Amino acid sequence: MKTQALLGLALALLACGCAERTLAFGDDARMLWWTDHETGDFSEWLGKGGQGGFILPGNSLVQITQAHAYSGTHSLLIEDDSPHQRDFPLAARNGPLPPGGAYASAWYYLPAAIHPTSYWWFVLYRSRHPPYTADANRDEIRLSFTTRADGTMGSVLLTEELGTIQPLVDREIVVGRWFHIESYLHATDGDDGEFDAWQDGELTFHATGKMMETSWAEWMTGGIADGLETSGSQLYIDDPAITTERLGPLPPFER
Amino acid sequence: MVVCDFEDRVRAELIFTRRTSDGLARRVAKKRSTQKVTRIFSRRTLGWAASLRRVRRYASLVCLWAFGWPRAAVADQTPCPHDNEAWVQLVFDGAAWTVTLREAVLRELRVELGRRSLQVCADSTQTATSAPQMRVTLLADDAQRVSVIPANLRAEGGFVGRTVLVGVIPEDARALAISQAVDEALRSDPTRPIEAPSRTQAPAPQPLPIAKPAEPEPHVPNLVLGVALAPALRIAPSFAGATRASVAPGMIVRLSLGSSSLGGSLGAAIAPASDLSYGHTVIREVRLPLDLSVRWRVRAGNFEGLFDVGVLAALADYERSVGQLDYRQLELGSRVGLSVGWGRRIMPWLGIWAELLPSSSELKLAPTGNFGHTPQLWLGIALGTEVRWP
Repeated sequence: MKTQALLGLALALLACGCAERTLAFGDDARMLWWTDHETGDFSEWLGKGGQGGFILPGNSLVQITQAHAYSGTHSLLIEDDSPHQRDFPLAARNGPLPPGGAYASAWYYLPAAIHPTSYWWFVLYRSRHPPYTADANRDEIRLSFTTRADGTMGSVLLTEELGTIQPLVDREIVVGRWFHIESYLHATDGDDGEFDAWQDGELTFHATGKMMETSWAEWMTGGIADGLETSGSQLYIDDPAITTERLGPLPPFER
Repeated sequence: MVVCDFEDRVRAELIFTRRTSDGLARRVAKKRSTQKVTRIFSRRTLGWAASLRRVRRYASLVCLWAFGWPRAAVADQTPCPHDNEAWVQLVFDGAAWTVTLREAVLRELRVELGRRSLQVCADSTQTATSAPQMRVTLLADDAQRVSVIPANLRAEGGFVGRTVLVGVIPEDARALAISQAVDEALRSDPTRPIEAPSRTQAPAPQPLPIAKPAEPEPHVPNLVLGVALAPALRIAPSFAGATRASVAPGMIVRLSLGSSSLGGSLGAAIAPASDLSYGHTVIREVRLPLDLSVRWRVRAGNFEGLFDVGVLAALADYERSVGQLDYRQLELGSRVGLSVGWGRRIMPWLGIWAELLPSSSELKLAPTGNFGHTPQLWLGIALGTEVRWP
């Protein structure tokens, strides 16, 4: 009996000492904001630190869905239901972003190809200026879906200050597969601004100079489109984050 | 001549018996020997008259002188043994015996064995009323050596014999040497097998029996208690996710108890918190290891080498930053250490060691997930002093 007790104690100690444990230390300090939509609502878009955010459905649809998800079971669905007119279903985080620069990233999924009439901005930086009312803003930097020469989908960078920026690498946006877009903005109203974009970890756009009218910048993602040429109109977004460091295409978020 | 042939046969049977190592065969041989001796002597006594008839009178007288007179000379006039006392039968065998030497041997042996209340009788089987405790045959084929061949007839045990080189001993001391050899043989373990002397192959000369050296006293290991104290550096050189090694100063204390070559030690380390750097995240670790080791010690003069191997249990506390979420857990592993020192009672020493953990804990942050693991290998170096008692 005594031997059995000692044996049990030894096994317990061994299990305690040898079993691999997981030690979770809370939020990654590099994350200014993030959501995996697993709450099933917009609460983390609208709150969760910083100055909050907003959802603009326009005349279309912005909702949390379980149809597709990069992490967990939920994601954000942007659907343009106004193919013949300009619409702006989107989600946004309020600024200003850190003046030293910030990274904004998200995973995107297109169940079908989107071919806009002329643009579908899926990443947008907007500046605001005094008196900082709702309409005192300017759409500054836009990453837009475009149709490449071979008919596949690609992206193009449009800026208010620098005009259209040609890609360093013209990467295809593959339909039916999650892809990662990460952008960096050093938002200044001088010539020392910088903008970079990575698609699936590869630098695709790089621009320097005056980026914005003011240094007040806010990040939006979703759809601002002037119209659609085909029936494809859905964009899924998951694991968006605003960070102080470049994360790259990370594995699905974990809570 | 006939009687002398009988003597040769007796001697041959004795040698045959001595050479037999198997117990059963030995008993059979002894029985044969005893029967033949009895038959020989019966034949001798019954056939003497016939012999005297067959040979000339002077030849009979020579034979009578060869067997009858010497026996009469060495035998006591009183019956031997007497009063049913324990006794040892002594048989002088071989051509090299002289009357003087036989009597001297008997005299010395009686003194030796008399202290143990043993009588010594030479060729007294006919008058004995009890069986001898032992029978010892002293075989002297030449003047240089005497073989002592005892036989425990009562126990039918083995034979323990020895050969005394008497040629190198002064004549007046030979009897004493032989009697001491007989006494020594009688005291010896009768079950110990011996190599019997042979007529064709002379036995290897053996030294005179000498007093056995005193049995060494049972070795009692001298236990030494040691207390070592040393400032130390503990280093986690590499671990998953780490951007640099973790170095933590501290103190170690070690108690040891052991003999000159083997012992055990119990060690503990006291160290302030150390940082485990994982790039963007730093985890502060407080670790209190305690190990129980087996210690081997090698000493050459004042130089000493120590090798420890043992099990380790460490209480570890991992904290992201002060006051925030922390985890405390017990980690089990093993430890090996090597130290060298100089001195005895107070020994300065330099030691290195390694602590090995079979597993590590995964470290996670939300939402980016795993950013590393806790170290599985700790190295240490210490320079300190050990004090020992006694």
